[in-house]
Amino acid sequence: MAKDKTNSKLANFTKGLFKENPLFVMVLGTCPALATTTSIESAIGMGLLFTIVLICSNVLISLLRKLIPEEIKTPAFIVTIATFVTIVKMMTQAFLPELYNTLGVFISLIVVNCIVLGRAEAYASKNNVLDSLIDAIGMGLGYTLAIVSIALVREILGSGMITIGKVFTFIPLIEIPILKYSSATTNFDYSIPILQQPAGAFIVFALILALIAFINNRKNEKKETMRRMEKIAQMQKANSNKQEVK
Amino acid sequence: MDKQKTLRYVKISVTLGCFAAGSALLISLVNLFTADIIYQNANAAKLAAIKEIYGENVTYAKEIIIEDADFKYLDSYFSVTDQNNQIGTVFITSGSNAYGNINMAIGINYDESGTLGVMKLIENGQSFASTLQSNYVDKYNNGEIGIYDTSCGATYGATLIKDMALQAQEYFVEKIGFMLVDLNEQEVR
Repeated sequence: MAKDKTNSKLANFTKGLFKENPLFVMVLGTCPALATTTSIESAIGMGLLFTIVLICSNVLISLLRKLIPEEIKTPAFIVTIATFVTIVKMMTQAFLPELYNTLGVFISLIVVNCIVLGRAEAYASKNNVLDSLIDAIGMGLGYTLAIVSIALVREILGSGMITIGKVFTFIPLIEIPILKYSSATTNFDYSIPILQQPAGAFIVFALILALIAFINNRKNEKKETMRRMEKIAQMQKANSNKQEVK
Repeated sequence: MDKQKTLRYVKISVTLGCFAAGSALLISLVNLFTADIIYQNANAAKLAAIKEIYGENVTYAKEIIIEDADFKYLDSYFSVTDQNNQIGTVFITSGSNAYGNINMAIGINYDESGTLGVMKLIENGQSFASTLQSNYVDKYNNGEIGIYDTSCGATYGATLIKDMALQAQEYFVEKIGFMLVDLNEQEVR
């Protein structure tokens, strides 16, 4: 019984990472995912802020779910989400000003991110606080991993290097050249600049979705093949039993 | 009206009121301890942007506030001197359009026509133009104002920057002015 409970909590957490990933499976929250993935640091920052808002709003909405009348569910959810976004925005502006300048208006746009309102209505308003918290952590981490994977491709292929310490200024600035390098003796640039532009964001997003669809199709084909082979084996067994009886 | 209905409406109003009050309380609490830090960060960003225009080895005079309705984008200016020779003026500008606000530091060189020097973004709140500094501002630097005069889509930011720079230049020529002092004849021309 205890093991079942743990398994269901684990399943609740991991569904947000893979099976019901909000960006790659449900295709929600694509606007900030395309706009804030020009660098890995800004993607990590966006994911972190998004996760904090999602956790806070899910927990509070779950706590108050029995007190909110049905008629004012949506406005109550939006006020809650907007409050936490405002708090997160003020904290970022005070303690992480570089991240605030980099993300700009997209911090405020977390209010209208479909994932936050969607999880509030679909899950937090119908489940207890612990399950809502686990769901929020899973979904938040899943979204963060998704946007960081897009940012990884865009930064490495688009700018030709990985830069750390430009947004999170408490980390020393490190530039790791991968496809682009310039010095007195060596000079090369194999980066694809369009990937740093909005069009490139769409291209990378589409390619990742295509890859996920390809992997899922292969998995389904294998499952189908296994099922057919089992069916054939069962039919053969049934036939051989009939012959024995005769 | 039915008593049940009345109670329902009262419950809805009270719930909404509590949400609004709770939200306001939380936000004001957070504002209490972040307001000062945000103000200090904004000042530091402004000073850092100003120092990038003419460098650190020059003297920046006291800030002079501009309250002229004809120059709506201009907030204040600093005169910049290098070993007692005036080399330029840094204007602090702010403006907004449908896509957000821009705060900039604009350097106007100390010469007869007030040529455009270097410009630095202090704050960029434009939703479309996260690459405003590299795509537009850096291209205007030390160049001719108005060469990127476009008025569509994401380049609205470029038009706003052009307008702010033109106003800074106009203010310098009309209100501050350039005085050439002939050291031999001690004449102000």
